Amino acid sequence: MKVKKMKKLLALSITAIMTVGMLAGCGSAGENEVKSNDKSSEVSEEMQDSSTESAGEEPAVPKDPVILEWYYAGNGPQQDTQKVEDYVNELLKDYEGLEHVSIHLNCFIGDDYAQQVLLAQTSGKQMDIVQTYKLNYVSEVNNGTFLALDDYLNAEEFAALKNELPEWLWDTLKVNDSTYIVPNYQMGSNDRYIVIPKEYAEYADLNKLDSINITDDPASLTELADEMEKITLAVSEATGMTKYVEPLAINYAQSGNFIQKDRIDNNSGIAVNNGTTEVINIYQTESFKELSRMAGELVEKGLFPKDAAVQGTDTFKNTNMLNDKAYAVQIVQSYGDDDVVSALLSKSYGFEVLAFRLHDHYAINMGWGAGGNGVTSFCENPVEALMFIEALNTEKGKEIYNAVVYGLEDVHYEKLDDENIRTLEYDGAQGGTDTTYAAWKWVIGNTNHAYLNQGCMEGDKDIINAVNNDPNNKVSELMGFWSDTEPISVELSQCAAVVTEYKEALWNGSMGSDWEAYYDEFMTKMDAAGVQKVIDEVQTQINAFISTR
Amino acid sequence: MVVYKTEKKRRINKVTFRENLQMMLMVLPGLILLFVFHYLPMPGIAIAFKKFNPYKGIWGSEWVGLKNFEFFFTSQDAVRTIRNTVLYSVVFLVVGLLANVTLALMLYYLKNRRATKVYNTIVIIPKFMSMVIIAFIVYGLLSPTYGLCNQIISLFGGDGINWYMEAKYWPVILTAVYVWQSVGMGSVLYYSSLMSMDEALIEAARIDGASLRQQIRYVIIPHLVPIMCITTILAIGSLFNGNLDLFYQVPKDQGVLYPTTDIINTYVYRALIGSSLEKSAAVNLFQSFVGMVLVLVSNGVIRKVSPENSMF
Amino acid sequence: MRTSKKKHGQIVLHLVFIFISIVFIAPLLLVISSSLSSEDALMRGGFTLIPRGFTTQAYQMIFEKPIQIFNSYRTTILYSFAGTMLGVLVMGLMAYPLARPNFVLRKPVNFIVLFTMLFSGGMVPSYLVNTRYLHLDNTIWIYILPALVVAYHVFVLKAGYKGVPEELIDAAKVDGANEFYICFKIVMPLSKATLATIAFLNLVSLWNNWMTSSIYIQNPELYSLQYLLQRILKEAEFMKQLAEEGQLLSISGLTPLESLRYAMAIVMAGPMLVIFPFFQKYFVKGMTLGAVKG
Repeated sequence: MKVKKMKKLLALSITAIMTVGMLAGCGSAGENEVKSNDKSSEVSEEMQDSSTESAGEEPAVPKDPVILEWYYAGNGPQQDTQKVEDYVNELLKDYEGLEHVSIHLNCFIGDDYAQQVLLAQTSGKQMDIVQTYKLNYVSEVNNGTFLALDDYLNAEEFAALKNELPEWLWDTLKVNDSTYIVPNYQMGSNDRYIVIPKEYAEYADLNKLDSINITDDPASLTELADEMEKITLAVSEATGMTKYVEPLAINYAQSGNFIQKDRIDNNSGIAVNNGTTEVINIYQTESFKELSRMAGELVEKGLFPKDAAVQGTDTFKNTNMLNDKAYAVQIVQSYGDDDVVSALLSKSYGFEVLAFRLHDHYAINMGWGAGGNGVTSFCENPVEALMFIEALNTEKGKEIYNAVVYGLEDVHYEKLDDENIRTLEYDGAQGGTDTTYAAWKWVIGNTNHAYLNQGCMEGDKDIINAVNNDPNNKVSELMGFWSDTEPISVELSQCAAVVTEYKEALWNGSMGSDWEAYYDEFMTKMDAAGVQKVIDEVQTQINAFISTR
Repeated sequence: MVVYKTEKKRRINKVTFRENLQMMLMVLPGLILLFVFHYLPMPGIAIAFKKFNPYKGIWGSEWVGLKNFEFFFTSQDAVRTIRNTVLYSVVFLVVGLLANVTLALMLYYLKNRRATKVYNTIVIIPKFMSMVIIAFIVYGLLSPTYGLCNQIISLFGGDGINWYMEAKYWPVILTAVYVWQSVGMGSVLYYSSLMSMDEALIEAARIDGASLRQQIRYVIIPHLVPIMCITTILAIGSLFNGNLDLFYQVPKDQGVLYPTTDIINTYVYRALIGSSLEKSAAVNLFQSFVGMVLVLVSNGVIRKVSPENSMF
Repeated sequence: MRTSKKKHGQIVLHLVFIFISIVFIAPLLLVISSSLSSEDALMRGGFTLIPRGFTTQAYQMIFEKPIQIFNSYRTTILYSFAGTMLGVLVMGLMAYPLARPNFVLRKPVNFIVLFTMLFSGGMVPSYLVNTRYLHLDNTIWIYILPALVVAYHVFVLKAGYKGVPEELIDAAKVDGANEFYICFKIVMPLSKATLATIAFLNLVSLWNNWMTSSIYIQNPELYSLQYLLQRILKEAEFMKQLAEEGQLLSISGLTPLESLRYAMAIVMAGPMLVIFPFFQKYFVKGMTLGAVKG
């Protein structure tokens, strides 16, 4: 008995030790990877010594190798990330000014990104270039993360970069009149379109749809809603299917492009009427109340399911539009002229649709969704870092930019001509985590220089430029304004909590005809959470901002 | 005589000293690990009182006193969330304990060993499902249009209930989900304790003519008391804490249900929406601190009643 | 008389268990069936125990790129088992003195262990310690070392050890045994069930761990299995956010399959269910009084 137990114990410990040993192998492999970065900086120091020794007569002194750590959000580390990184470093060897530079790609999945950046900052890891998407840009600037770039940009060296992007874009992302990041150029505004399958076109008054123009006047919203309901009823009757009507409340509350308002804090609904500088709360407007009522009515009439909040509305939309229990018409976000959008959507849905824009102009709202790449204030090689960012944003570095976005030719995509490619693993405009490699072009750099794959619109870039430079655009007066949330942080988070609690039931009309009591409860609770204090504070800040222009 | 006594004492002391030395060696690896991985980072608790700037580190960041606690304690939902958290914790504790012990007993009394193993494996299954999957399963039951429950109700001629809009059902639903997920794992502890119980005791009771109920009451339960005390005291330590996943995923984050499903953890999650390390650290600290006090109190109570079952 | 009553009782017990089994297995069947249903059928919301629109698409997707999942399987198995064995060893050792009344430091150590269960420094300080000073990030050790000592398990072990009769230990002491001997030769073997329980609890929590990967691992080869699933789930959430923010243009074909989640859940839970019976054999009935007397 005793011997047996001894043996068992011995066996167990030997297994444990062996496993530990095996793991030591695995572990050190990983460790070596991490350590190699440190080692190469030691190497660079050595090289520095040797190079200064051998530098005798010639004018050009070979520069010390530089490694740049670049942090950005995307699909996280993927199977082929290392391959792509190696390839980019190869390309850099032939890029003027960056021959001695290699880049290390630190990509993290959306939600993890902010956390990883914070951890890297806290533990003193080397960070040279940081992309701001998913980060609180102003907080980072205030903490001192970024280097002010104005002096560099105004110098001869970076003239190409400065001229690449329009003035208004640079201004948008200035904080306290200093430039801290290079904004990623993409379309500056979306618009909303009402989309109807061609099959149902006979039940609609197409001219009317074409002429609808949404403003903040509740009457225009009612007009659109009534039209949608009419069409849906007609389609239901004709086809015998159960068709739903999309409540406009969702569009109203969620996006700044449906009723074209600047968003200050989306979580709590603080916004500004575009065209004015008046601060409001989206959920307190007459329009929202009206739309809540309409949503409730839709549910009462059976035109929208009462459990939509739980079920989700994905199955009512897009490719499902011709099916039972789906929308007959829907609101879609896009940009460009009606016919271009129609073509794109038809292609992606697999059946013909007609799209009609809901506004007669674009609104370029404050803030810039795509963010941009910035150089950290503690970067030891800011010039090289900025040059790399320049590569991602100008014609000169087009090959590098596209390598980071799409990967390797023939491995991840097939080149069709100078501008167009066919990505091998995905058909949409951007790839997800299930690919061996895919990055998001609007996170990486200037989308103007990106290849277009099969998921993009025909002539996408021209459209984007046209949209951005359209003389009819209403550009927000608050470009470059950043609210200081310190004095109201408590109220903001409490308002956010209240909004999150009530918004979905209201905009889905889940309460049916009993919506009003619930709405009143919402309003009372918001008041108690201090929404007026927030509005007043932001208004003061905005007024100060405007007066200093 | 005196000489003999002191000599014996010295010998005993030497023995005790050597024994203790050996035992200290045994505790050493664990202590080192605890020190490195739990106590070294412990000063980080200070984040709760600071405005954290990652470049200044924990020590260099500005001290703001209790400001980080403000957003939670001044909110209208503070009372509601605390109440919900505590109530659920208590209910989970009691119901969980009953369920775990009952299941362990049932498994114990099953004669067929093979069957025991099979059943035991089956009840453990839910532990391996992530909460998102469980939320999906619950939805499969409670979906107003397609769910199983409503289908059954309409079979009997009733109108389906809009489960995700009625807050009052959820304490029961969530408790059921909690038990369903944890009873398999939770009962393992009690079952193994039963397994290490001396069979002769039960035998003796049976010979004395004790009924099943009496056997359970007078032999088995007392044997399980030590384990029950430990698990209860430890559970009391998390009384002010709730499982974020359970309360966030399963009710599908429906605002209408918040009156009965919103707990401290879910409130903090949605109020801070990602940002603010310091504020969530502050609330965590509050939860830990209260937990600590409760553990000390309950341990003290148990120590008075039956000292051998107290933790320390 | 008695025997038929006993049999009667057994039948009732079995019936109850069969009912319970249905309650527990049915959801599993639901998940399996969903993993084999077509995306369309899932979206339409019909919940059936039999797959609708049968397709193995989700599983194909998982095993199509076998490298990733193979790596994660390997990593997870390695660290789970190593962590479990080492953990049981360390904690098994540590709990022993706590159960012995003659241990001088019993109370302080008890408290030290308990305190860690209630308070923690938080993610950031732990990250600092683990990366800056210990350089554990991106290695497999980050999964194992911090999780080796779990206060809860130590206390459970302590309670289990206390169940060993004092007489046995005294008898051994008279024979001249030292504490190590008593621990390894007497107390532990008699607490097999408790040790096996703790081992299994450890194994499960290590197997289900995904936060560690999320924070510390950048090398895709070292991702844990549960993290892979979490990523898919997170991505679905994230894509929704992106769509709301307006960054997405092409709508279809971007969100990962619904059925993929369920397939992954099955793929991950499977091994544990197979392993559990192995632990069950340690839940043997306790020793008889005879051993003590002898």
